[in-house]
Amino acid sequence: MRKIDIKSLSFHVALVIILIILLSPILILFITSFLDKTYLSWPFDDFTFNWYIEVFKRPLLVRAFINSLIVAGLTTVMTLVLCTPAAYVMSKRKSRTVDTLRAFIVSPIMIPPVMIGISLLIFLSRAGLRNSYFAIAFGHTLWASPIVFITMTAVFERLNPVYAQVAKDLGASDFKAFWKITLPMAKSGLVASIFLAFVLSTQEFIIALFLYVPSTIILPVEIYTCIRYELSPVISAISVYLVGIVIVGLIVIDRTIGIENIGFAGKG
Amino acid sequence: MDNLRNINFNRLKYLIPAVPLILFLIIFFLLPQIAMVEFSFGEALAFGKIKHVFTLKNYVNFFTDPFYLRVLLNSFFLGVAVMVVTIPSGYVLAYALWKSEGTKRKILYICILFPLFTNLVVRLYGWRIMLSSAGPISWFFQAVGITDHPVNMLFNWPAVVLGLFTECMPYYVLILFSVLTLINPRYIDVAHDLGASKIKAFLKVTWPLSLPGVIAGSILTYIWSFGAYATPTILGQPKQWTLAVHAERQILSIRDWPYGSAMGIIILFFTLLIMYIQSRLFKGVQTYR
Repeated sequence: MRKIDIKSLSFHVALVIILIILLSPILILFITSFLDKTYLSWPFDDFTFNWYIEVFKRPLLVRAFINSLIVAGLTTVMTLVLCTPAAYVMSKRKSRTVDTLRAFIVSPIMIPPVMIGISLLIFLSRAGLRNSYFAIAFGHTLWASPIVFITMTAVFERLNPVYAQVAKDLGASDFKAFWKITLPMAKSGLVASIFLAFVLSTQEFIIALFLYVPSTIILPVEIYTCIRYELSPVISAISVYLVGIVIVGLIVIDRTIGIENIGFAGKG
Repeated sequence: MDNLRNINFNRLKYLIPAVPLILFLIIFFLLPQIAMVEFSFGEALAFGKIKHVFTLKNYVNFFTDPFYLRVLLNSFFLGVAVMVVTIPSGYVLAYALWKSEGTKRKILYICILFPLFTNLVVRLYGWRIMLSSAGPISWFFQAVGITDHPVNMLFNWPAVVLGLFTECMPYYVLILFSVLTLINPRYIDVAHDLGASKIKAFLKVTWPLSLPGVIAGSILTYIWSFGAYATPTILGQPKQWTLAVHAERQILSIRDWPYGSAMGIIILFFTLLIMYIQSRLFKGVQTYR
């Protein structure tokens, strides 16, 4: 009996260590953002909230933060408009064509994001689209679409198809049945997908690094250029704002469809 | 023949709402990749201009340059190292998630999804603080008395592996977990009933059944580590740079787009090769589910 306890204990110790390794880089941001010095040092005992206000006095960071929100907004709209109808018609279908299409839709996430960055940079420079917010938003749509598509497919698959069928029997067109019945039923899934796409865009960095121009620089890229020269509580504070978007997003997704229903399962 | 086409079209008519997404992917995903292939056969002129010819010069230059071959080899080993660390530790986490329920499962989910969604740069910045000589780990080592001066644990291979490990593990865990949930718990009960110990039941039943998840997850880990960009530049120094970093330098700094594209194609080639080998080698395992 005692032997089993030791095994289970060592398993749990390993689990806790792994979780600490996974979460410590984020927790350290919260801690250092209260540091009352202009540079980083450890340990410290002077706490301040000043940095959270101070970041707003840095025009470059504020500009980058606003740009991030604009790009994330564009990405969310494009991802939802593209993925919702596709996920709807492809849910509950099993044929060779659908399986192939599904694999194609999911493929952008299977290759290193650097590749998407390089290829889109070449392509958008040729098309003369590099100077607009759409350059980064197109890249982020590629990045968010697979995950939103899988999530929306799962949402539609759990709906009861009877209601839409009844509407069609009563004379509604396919489109009207979808617009009036299915979509309102999938409302919570849609809300979750909106936040999912928004969070994915604000947190993506590598594709944006290739596609930004000085006027469209987004926050993660700005942070990336900052941390080459300084490790400071200001950067920690602005990072905490960025992490805040994730926290809000995860809470909303959890309240609407449940955190465990985010579509990663199909990635393998 | 005409008739046949009509039938096919009618059968696929329901897919029309999916056309915008497919078109978007063709235009912004497939075509750019093709453009990159075309660029990689071009020749760089001064001021970032490109001569569109068909030359293998970029590829020949790459494979005859001992420096880049070294980089390629390093990227391979980096991928293997991250995979070796991720497989067992990710398994512990996926297993715990599988066995847990209720609030405990929710907490574990949050612990996995929170870092997964959080910006990579932000997380790497966190590691910069943790591992720097002014950071908590260095302070701890001094307090305990392991060293008497601040230690900098950044800019070496272990730091890069650690960064990539925390980057890839959440995805690995979720893929493995999705396979674990497919296992019928009765198989394990039967193993116990027949007298197998906990460890034996795991080795003989759970592990082989979860192998497709382990393979799919570790392949993704490998591909991402092989093509990693952010982690080697933030936690490493030029010695730790992967091929992806050098491709970026060629394109954004040196402005030799054809050479950078060729490097990109080489990364893509090895990515696809690894996925192909996986699908061939482990065909039996995949259907084992």
